[in-house]
Formats: sequence, structure tokens, C-alpha cells
Amino acid sequence: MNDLAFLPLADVAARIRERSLSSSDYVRACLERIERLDPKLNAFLSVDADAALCAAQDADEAIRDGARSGPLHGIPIALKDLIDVAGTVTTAHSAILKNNVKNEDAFVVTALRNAGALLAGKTALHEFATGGPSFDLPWPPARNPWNVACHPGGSSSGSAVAVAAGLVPGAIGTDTAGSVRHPATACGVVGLKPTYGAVSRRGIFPLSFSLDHVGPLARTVEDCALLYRALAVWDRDDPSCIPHPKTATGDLKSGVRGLRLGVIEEFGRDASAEIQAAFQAALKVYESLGATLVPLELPPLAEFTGCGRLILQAESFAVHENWLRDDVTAYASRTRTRLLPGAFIDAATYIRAQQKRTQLAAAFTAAMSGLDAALCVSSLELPCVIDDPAEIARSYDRQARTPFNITGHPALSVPIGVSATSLPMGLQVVGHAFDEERILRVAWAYEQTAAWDRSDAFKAMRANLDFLNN
Amino acid sequence: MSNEERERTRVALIAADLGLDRLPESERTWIESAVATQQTLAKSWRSDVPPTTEMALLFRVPRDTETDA
Repeated sequence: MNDLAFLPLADVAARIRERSLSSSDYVRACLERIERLDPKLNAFLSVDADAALCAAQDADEAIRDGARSGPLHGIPIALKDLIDVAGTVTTAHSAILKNNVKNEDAFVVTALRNAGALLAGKTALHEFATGGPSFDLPWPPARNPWNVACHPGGSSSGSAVAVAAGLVPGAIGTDTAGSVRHPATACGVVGLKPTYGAVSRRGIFPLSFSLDHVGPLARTVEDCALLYRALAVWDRDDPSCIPHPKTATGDLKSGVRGLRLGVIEEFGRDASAEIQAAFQAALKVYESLGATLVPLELPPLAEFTGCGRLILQAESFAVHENWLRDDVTAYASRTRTRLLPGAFIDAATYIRAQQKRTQLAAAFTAAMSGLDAALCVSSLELPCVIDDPAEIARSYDRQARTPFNITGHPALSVPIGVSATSLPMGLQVVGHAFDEERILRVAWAYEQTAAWDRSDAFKAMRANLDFLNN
Repeated sequence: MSNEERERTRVALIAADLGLDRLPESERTWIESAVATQQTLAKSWRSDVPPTTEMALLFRVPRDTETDA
């Protein structure tokens, strides 16, 4: 499998299309790798090997019959386990939902199937997509493949781990305060939070209705683009989903020469020296590629994170109030301490938070005028040790991702290097509403030049995975 | 009763209603800290955010563009 494990999704799709690789062989290789490595990584909560192999055989037969169904034909994808799949359990990584069998696919699952994808399994998350890694749940938290002692980021932890470790070529996560981009950054993969309203959330367990987004994770920007295009289908039955201009394909590889990129230095002011240095080096790459860098002034990061946290607390408490009142001990300790503060927010304060949000979103939209995209750091710190509650609590909110859940603009995390301690770091590319194609283009240009995916550090991480079970 | 006393009473009533006294002290401390942050934010927004500020939808449907609807 090792020669296939880290093959980009786009290359796997091309090989299946050209019949130089069968979906069945590829899926079997993924399942073998999951069986071998996942006991140490805990990326998956469930894997339905029989269903995946059966779907792969169907995909191969369709190819033989000349009936390819879409750009993801025969490709296994992993889903964060709060996304419904008909006939299977959606647990949200919680004991409360351990018997929660669903009757229908989430809209995004239908969209993926329509694009030809098949399902590899359901991945670990933070309980109900909030809190952090917990050890008092029926399943253990996912581990960072760069260092299994470290937190892989969250809450879409398992999705990022599965992709980074070469268990699947792509995965789907959700992002309410950075939960796609955080694990993408911590695990050295690409994660996209699309524009609010670009991707349906129907059939996905909510955390915070006005902040929840659904997005893809993959090892390359091109793979992330393929997944995003499959997901970005208007759902008339999701009231938050907005019919938007068709995505312009073919623009991904046209470079950044002549583009004006805003630089949000403010958001990285408190980042570690190593992350700041990596960010500055990435800016130099963009200058060398012909982009014009423009300082972008915004309100302080703390205004965004405070506003986001309060809205998240209020909305998530509304989702969980009945269960919290029934049996607060059914939740992990870390989860209930994140949910219960929402009980104390009165209506006027919640409304003021949404009004403040309107101001912050308007400020960002105004600052983006005349710019093609913006750049800022993702995490302000490297991933910490996973079983140190104090470090998790201290570092969890040290990030610059929540601002774009507040404003709703699309934001993508792409690797920008590896620390002295062999942990990955990430850059965010942020765009205008529904301009995902341009931020993918901006990220692709950097990725091709920096080539971290082909670096010795990435190769070493991947080689070390083979020793996990020794 | 002062505003501060009213707020303390409100918070205490909600905590009692939820039975938070049954939680471990470390969890109660975390929640108290989160509530204190909420109060600080609410106070600042009462003075910084005009009360008539619209709670606008984030994005509106572009009517004059081709859509995939």
C-alpha cells in the first residue's frame, strides 16, 4: 500500500478512470492500512469494510461498462461521525448517541455519492464537535500521526488524522470555530471551510447553527478542490444553504502573479516565534510568485474570538439543554464545561453578540475591498501533548480561525512547514464570499512552490508510521 | 438591589436550577470563568454596539448571476 497510501486523490481518480488501478484494489489497500495503523491513531470510530468493498466493486463494474459517475468515481472518503449515513449509527463521539441509527444520508453524503465517491468509515471527533480531546468517553481521542503523544487538533480530529496518515485520500469535517482548519494545520494537511451557505448542513448534527460549516480535508489543494466542488451543491431543503454562482473550474493552476493579497499581521501577533517565522517565509514565497502584499487592518483578534465563543455557547446550549438537564454526567467532563456556560446568556446579550458579529463581518468585507484574498496564520502554537488538560485548555483558543466563522467568509489552511520538533504549521488563505476557487488557486500556487508534501520532513513522518505497531 | 447584585442573583439561580453544585470543583471553576467573560463582553457591547444595529444575514443571494439552483 505504501506506494498508493500518499498518492493524491486526483491521481487515484485518474488511475481508476484509466483502469490502471481498480477501485477494489485501492479500497482494499486503504482498509489494510486502516487495520494496521488505526489501533494507534484512533482516527476511525467505525469502518464498514464490506460495504466499502461492495461499493468499490460496483464502481469497477461501472468503469468497465463505460458508466463513470463523476470526478470522485471509486474514491473512498471518510466522514466525521456527526454526518448521517443511512442505515448506520451517527454517534457524534458521544455515549448519548451510541444507538442513533439514521434512516437517510446527509445531503453532502448524497452529493459525494453522486460524484462517484464511496464511504470508508466514520471518524473520531471531539464529543459533539466541542470541548477537546476526552478520555472519559466510549472511544479514545484520535492521535496526531506526526507524534502520537500530541493533539491532532479538532474537532474534526479523525478526519485529518486519516488523511495525514494515508488511510484515505480525503475526508469531510465540520467547522464551527475552526474545526476543519485546526486539525488540518496540526496534522499537516489542507482543510477548507467554505463560505457560510455554500455547503448543506442537512443531516449533520448541529453544534451552533449560525457558525456551523461543512468542509473537506485532503493532502493537496487540488484534492481539496475536487472534494469541495462535489460538496458545493445547493440544497433547497437547508434554509442556510444559498444558491450561488457556479464554481469556475480550470482556474486552480493559473498562479498569483498580479493578485493583491491582504496580510493580517494582527492575527499572528501573539503566535510563537517559529510560526511567525514560517508565516513570514510564506509571504516571501508569494512575493516571489508575483503577488502584491497589502497590509490588512482589522479589529483585534480577541473581539472576533469573544463574539464567536458567546454565540457558540448560546446556540450549543439550546441544542443540548434537554440532555444536560436529564443527565449531565452522560457527557464527558470537558464537553459539559463548554456547553453549560450557554445557560447563563440572556436573550439581549445573544442578540448583541449577533449585532457585534454584523459589525465585524462588515469590517472584514470593507477591508477586503480591492483585494483578491487575505493571508494570516492558523494556529498560534504548535500542537500540545494530548493528555495534559491544562495545556489543552490553555492552547485551545490560541488560534486565528474563528474570525471567519464569525464573518462567514471562506478560509483554507495549507501547510507552511515543520517545526524543529517535527510538528506541522499552517497558513490560512481567506477569500470573498463564495470565492472558494480563488483561495484554492492562491493556496495551490504556494503549495507547488514550497512543496512541503514532498519534503524530507513529510517523508520522514510517513515512513515513521510504519513503525507505529512495532 | 444594584445591577451587580441582580446579576449575581440571576447567575446563582441558573446554577441552582441546573444543579451545578453536583459538578466537581474544577468544572465549576471553568464555568464561572466562562460566565465572567460573558459578563465582561456583554458590558462592553452595551456601550460599543448601537442597539439598533441590524442582525443582517451574512450573505444575500446574488440575483443577477447564473446559479446552480
